[in-house]
Amino acid sequence: MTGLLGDTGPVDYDALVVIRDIFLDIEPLVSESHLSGRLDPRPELQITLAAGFDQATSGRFDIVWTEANCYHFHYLESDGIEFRFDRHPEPNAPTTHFHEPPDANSRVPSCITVESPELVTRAVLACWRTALSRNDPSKVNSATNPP
Amino acid sequence: MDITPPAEYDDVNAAAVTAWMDETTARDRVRAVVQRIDEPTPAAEIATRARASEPVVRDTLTDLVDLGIVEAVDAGQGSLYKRHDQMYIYRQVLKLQAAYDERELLSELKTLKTTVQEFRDAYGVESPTELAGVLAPDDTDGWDDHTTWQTAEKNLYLTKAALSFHDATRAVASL
Repeated sequence: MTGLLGDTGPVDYDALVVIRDIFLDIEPLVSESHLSGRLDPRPELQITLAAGFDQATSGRFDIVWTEANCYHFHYLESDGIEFRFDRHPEPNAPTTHFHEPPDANSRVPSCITVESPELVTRAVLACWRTALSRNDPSKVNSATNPP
Repeated sequence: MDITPPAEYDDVNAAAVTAWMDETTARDRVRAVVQRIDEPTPAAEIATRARASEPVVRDTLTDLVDLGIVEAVDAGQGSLYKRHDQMYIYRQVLKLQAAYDERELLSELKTLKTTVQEFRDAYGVESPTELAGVLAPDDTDGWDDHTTWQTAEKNLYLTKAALSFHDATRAVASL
């Protein structure tokens, strides 16, 4: 389930490989990564992280990227919070939007404005790590990391 | 668990650009950018997206054109650049052949054909383009199927190409 509304183009498998490699290269908390086979018609990248908010000891990003540069980075914890960074046509929100924690139901403009997989992945990781270091999920969609 | 915060930043987007530039060379970035460009694009625009100087970009593009990875399109006022589609397909085929043997490709082809046929039957339309014409903007399941159909269709053609390559490779080897 991509959950991406609109004409997104096919899923871009090579972009998922790029995104996985960035997580593995720059984020030491990655404990596991899983990427579907190249010919899976619903390919998805799952990245598990060995830390979570509050009592959670782990969290996971489910990631899809398409050839029209549509994406979702969907963060979820078992029995815990959920949020999503999205870019795709959406009738009730800007194309680039954020589904807020705790349940990822609302849609607000996203703090992420860069567009390539190389940059969006680094921005998502920075947002997540900044909020995690403050143990405050409400800080995930924040463009700044003040002292 | 104590989590170290990232270094301070005023704008996460600018910070992502700085990190990308620190971790890669200008040539790496041009290559990454141009592989996702499928419409003829000026070198200056590629320089902006790759955060690289125009001379380095022109130099790298010339090398990539020589390698056949990038196509230069004459546009009167100078060249425009895009990824070389045939080479892109060839590289996709090589990646498929690395991941699947011939028997697996045949079996995947069968599955992909079934997937595509199921979408045709379910929606009563012949193509993802036709499906896009009948979906409501907020039809989550419908658009999910649309993305899947497009992906399956692309994979189907690439799988056929990969199988033809096996045949051609055998034919050439036996000459």
